[in-house]
Amino acid sequence: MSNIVRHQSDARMSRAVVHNGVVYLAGTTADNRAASSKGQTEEILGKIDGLLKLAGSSKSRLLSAVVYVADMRLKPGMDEAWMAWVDPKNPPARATVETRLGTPDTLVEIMVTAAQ
Amino acid sequence: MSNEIVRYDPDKRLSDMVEYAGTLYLAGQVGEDSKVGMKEQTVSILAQIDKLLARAGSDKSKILSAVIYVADMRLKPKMDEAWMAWMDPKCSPARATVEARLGSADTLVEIMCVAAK
Repeated sequence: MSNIVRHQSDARMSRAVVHNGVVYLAGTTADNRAASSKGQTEEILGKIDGLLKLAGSSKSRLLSAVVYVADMRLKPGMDEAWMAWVDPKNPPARATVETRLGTPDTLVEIMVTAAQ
Repeated sequence: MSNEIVRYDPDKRLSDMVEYAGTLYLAGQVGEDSKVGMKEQTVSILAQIDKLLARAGSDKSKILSAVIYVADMRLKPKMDEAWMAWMDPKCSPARATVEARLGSADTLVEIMCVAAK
């Protein structure tokens, strides 16, 4: 059976886990929570780029994404950043849902899987 | 590695766990007793996850990702207490915690995992 490789792990969670050619990223949020949903999404997508690279993948190999927004009215701002980032030839299966996130000023959290 | 789909305890609605190509997809687990607190509900869920994984010859050190739904984000620290006591610290999964309204009003937490066999 193939090995499991974990990146940026602590006792609670790993930022990226690779198994069987599939990369699982943790839910990623922005550090600058003063930013708008667009700004937070840009920061998140930059982090996702870095984690995917670390795991030997890239945004062109995304399989699925779940986008959590704190308020559905913030979705257009998120989408603006998303559209500027996503590889238009290789978009993942995606869903967006509204939820309360870890802190009140966390507006967006994104969790993706990708092929290695 | 088998490419057959194996379903554990399927009923007409859902399976408790589905296996494909060396990967296990677990249904969202809730605590057995919804009258108890967040920490106890989480302990119950994690024991159920142990049991399900064991049925496929896997264990908690092989969990790849977990999404944790909590009914109230203010209760997250209690969930985390149970999680940290249970988790193999060298084998933690990719994880996200979000707040959601769950199946019944007193269900405080639900956890959905993907694991390697």
